[in-house]
Amino acid sequence: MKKKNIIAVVVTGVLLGFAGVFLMTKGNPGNMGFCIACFLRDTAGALKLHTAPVVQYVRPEIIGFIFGSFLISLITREFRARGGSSPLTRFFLGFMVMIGALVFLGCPLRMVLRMAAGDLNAWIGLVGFVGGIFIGTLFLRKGFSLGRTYEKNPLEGALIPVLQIPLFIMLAVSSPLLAFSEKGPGSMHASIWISIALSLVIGIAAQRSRICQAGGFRDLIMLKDFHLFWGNAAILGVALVYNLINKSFTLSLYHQPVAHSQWVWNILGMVVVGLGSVLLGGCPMRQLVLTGTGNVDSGITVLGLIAGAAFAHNFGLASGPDAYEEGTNVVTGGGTTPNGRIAVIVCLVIMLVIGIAYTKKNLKSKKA
Amino acid sequence: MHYIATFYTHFGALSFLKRLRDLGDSEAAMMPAPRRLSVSCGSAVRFSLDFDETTMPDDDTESVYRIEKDEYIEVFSNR
Repeated sequence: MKKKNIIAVVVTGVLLGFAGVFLMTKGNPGNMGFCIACFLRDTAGALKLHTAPVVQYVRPEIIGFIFGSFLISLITREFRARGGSSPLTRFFLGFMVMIGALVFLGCPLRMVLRMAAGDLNAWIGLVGFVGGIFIGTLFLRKGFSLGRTYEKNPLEGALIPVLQIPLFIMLAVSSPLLAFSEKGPGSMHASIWISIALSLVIGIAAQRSRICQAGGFRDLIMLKDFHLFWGNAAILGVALVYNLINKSFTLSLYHQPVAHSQWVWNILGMVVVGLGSVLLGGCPMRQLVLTGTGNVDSGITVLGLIAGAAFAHNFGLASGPDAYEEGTNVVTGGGTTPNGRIAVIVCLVIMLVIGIAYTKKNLKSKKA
Repeated sequence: MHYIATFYTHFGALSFLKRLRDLGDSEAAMMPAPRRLSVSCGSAVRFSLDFDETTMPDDDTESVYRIEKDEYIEVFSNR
């Protein structure tokens, strides 16, 4: 049984690693074949929740991911509308996770894809991600809980998954209601049909396998259990081999696509992502999958991620890629912003306050 | 006889484990929730003390299953 679980996680990781490079070769931005944070940010821009002209595009990968999980959970009868576990707190945790991701420039998935392309800044970010997860496990050990979920009306659980249909139609017909970037990362994309097909398959696989990038490290730290961790290893391994074959591997801190080299903020941004993911019970990718299975709390978290992305671009929190003096490694611009740096510190403090506030000091030794 | 319990919260799992230990099940242990039993990526508790609905589960306990060969047979549900 355990072997089957590991195989399912590894297969999902293989698909993600493959899609992460393949979609880049088909037009998605550099080292951004698949990124939950960046693609939610682009979708927020397409819906005009922010007006950064270079990152506006409804990403079909997000639609396929949620809808694939929705379809398979209906087929396997695992779709169950449930929610009520501190929804507003989850919204703000999602909001802050997005800010951390946009200061680093990527979610855990893109972090691994960047690592597999030789971007040493992402390896530095990994230190922060694991550090954040470790802090999160300390809260879990002390009794942190956002409370249990309760059954909800199935319509509530199906709202966000079903909304993906009109969103996809609007994308497919290039609806003038949406914003489309004409330059920058938002203008770079694979064919919507390739993206939707691949992401539907991955959404199905992710729902079946329960893959979770934060969960992989959390279970390793807390339970010494590797099975979710193999998902991260598979993403890294497959994307690394594909990048080497594709000649898209460059081992360096500098001149990496959509990346900056401010290591302190790469670490701290990912601490926010790691800690927030543990407090939420799953990484951004897992939140999309759970949304597809009817988890209203994860749906609220996804809305928080989208709001966080819009806020980050409207208020200058998101980092930009490094700019260089021509022909050198001398960084002349880009990177984090003062607002972004302040926001990361504020997010960390708020997350610690949430961690303490929701930690019950004594584990219940008697049945309540 | 072996059992496995799934939970709504990680806190529920930790509390359940503590209750099991207090009841004398020194082999009770946390583990990742099996894929077949839970759609969350949360934790489960495996234990061998005979399941007692009156003393073991609480509101955070989702379900308890008896493990027979490779099958899980539900003996308690709080859905």
